[in-house]
Amino acid sequence: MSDILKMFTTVIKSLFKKSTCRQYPFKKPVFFDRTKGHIQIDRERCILCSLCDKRCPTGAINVDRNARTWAINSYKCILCFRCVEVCPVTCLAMQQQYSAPEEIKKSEVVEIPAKAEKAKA
Amino acid sequence: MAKRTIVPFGPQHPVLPEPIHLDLVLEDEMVVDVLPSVGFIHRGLELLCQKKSFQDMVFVAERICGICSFIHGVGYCQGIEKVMNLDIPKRAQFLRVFWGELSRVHSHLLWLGLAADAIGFESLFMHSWRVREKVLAIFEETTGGRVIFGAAKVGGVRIDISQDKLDQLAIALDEIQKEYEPLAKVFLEDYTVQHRWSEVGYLSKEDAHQLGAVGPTARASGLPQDMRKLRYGAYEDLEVEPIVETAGDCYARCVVRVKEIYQSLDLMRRVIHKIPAGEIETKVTGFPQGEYFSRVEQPRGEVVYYVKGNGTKFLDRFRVRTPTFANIPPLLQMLKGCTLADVPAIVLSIDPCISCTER
Amino acid sequence: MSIKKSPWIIHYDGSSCNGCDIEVLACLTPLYDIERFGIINVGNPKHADILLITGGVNQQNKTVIKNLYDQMAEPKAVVAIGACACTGHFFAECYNMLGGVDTVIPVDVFVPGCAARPEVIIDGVVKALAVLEKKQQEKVTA
Repeated sequence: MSDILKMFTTVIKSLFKKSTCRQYPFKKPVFFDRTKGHIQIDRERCILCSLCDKRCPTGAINVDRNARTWAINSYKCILCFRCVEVCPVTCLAMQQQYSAPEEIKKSEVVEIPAKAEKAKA
Repeated sequence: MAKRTIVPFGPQHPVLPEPIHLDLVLEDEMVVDVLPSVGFIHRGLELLCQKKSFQDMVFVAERICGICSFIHGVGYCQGIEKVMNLDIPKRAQFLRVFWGELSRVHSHLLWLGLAADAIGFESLFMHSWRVREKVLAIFEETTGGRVIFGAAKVGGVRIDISQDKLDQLAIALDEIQKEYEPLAKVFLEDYTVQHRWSEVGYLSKEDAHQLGAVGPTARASGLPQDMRKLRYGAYEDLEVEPIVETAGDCYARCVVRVKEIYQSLDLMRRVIHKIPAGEIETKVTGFPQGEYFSRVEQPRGEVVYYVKGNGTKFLDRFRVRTPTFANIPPLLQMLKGCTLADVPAIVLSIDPCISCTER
Repeated sequence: MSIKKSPWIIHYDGSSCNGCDIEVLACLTPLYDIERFGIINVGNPKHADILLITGGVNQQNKTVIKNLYDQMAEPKAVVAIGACACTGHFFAECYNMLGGVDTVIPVDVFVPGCAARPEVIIDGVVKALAVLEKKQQEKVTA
């Protein structure tokens, strides 16, 4: 008898308790300060030293000095913070928003403005 | 004599999240022999040590297994640090213990859930994983990652936790324990669980010793074996008494894990209480030369790391002996003489981590 | 379409490290609970509409993945979860690895991350639903 009573109290409690579910697509995801999402570059400050390219353990970052581009393949990136640590001008930062799933794998290419343009700006 | 039949089990099987293939030789319903075949997850990552620098190998070591990833990283770092004679700051060592024990709680809760699912107790699975998400929230808050977080580093740890945060975490741990208690009570007292597991998959103390069982599998058979007794890292200042059960069946292995969660929560509280202030890493100069065997305790048992440096930034050899690999011979022993319907429950009872085993 | 209302998924662990696998399982558990949308994780490829693959492809599981894919009924979609399944990242250099899942079977949606968060996996499955519907319509018109 006491078991049945216990069961009913649990059922009634569960009925009125707030749901544990985060209701994801309807509510925004919960992020913390340190949450690993994606790497973002501040293109004004980048000096194209290509240290991030050399140190990236998976080879996800590609720096082309002649074309003045910085590219990241988020399908290769393992979010290890290595590039953020080695960047001498701290122009790389980890953002909380994760990169979205896509139907084709493509790198995200960022053009780095030349020094003269930077001075003008 | 009944006719012998061979029933293939796996590699893709609903009860297993990971692929392992077993050929079960049956006589009617009784399993008489088992032939395992592995290699579905073999990546060959040990050879990567000749392509990645010894500091980048931490990321590879962490990706041997996603469940106990941090302890894999620590085991590897510990090996390299011993080779290079590095002195690790006390704070870093305590933080390693903190995340390591948190990983143990996360891994055991995950196992409790999966095991409950294997015996058809789905609501218990859901509740275990609900509590586990709270543990993952602590990981994400302190390091940024949910399962693989890359906090270990040769020479210390990469991230510090401030004292205010640690005090908050102590409250969070109490909350986890409060939510975990009713759950543990179900595992320890409910007759459904006992009915499915007691006297199933028996492993005697002699067999456990002879076949080289490690971790909870060995401890459930009465072997008080725990690598934390070696006093590596900050375990020097933290007393750990291995939890031992003597029954040797699936239920005993469950009880060991249920109790170890309490032990780990208690250890984390002691870490928060005792943690000294100071640096979190030492500067690493030069390259490793020499070899070392590093042994650490994982949620699944003892893991052995062998590293051999040759004085360049690449290692000569990197070898891992993971706990599931050691537990496969005892598993085959347990399966002999059980019925076909008990096979999933017994396979899960050693907490198989196939990606560790095959690397 | 009825499939869009409740797609059934099958999950296969290629050669992943378990990180993405437990995140796929975490999607089913109370905090994310994709069963709200009628999504059920099934063990039989013939029942499933969407194949979730975590981890890259190696010599041994190449045929297993192919078999699973061939057994699924049309229309079907494949979602590659995590950096390993997309490109193989540093494991692509290993002697035993072929690379991402797209080296063996056609992949419809790539989900980035190491390990991929449950939120991204849900997004990926939602994307795969659109692919499924497109395939269904193509089948009807053909």
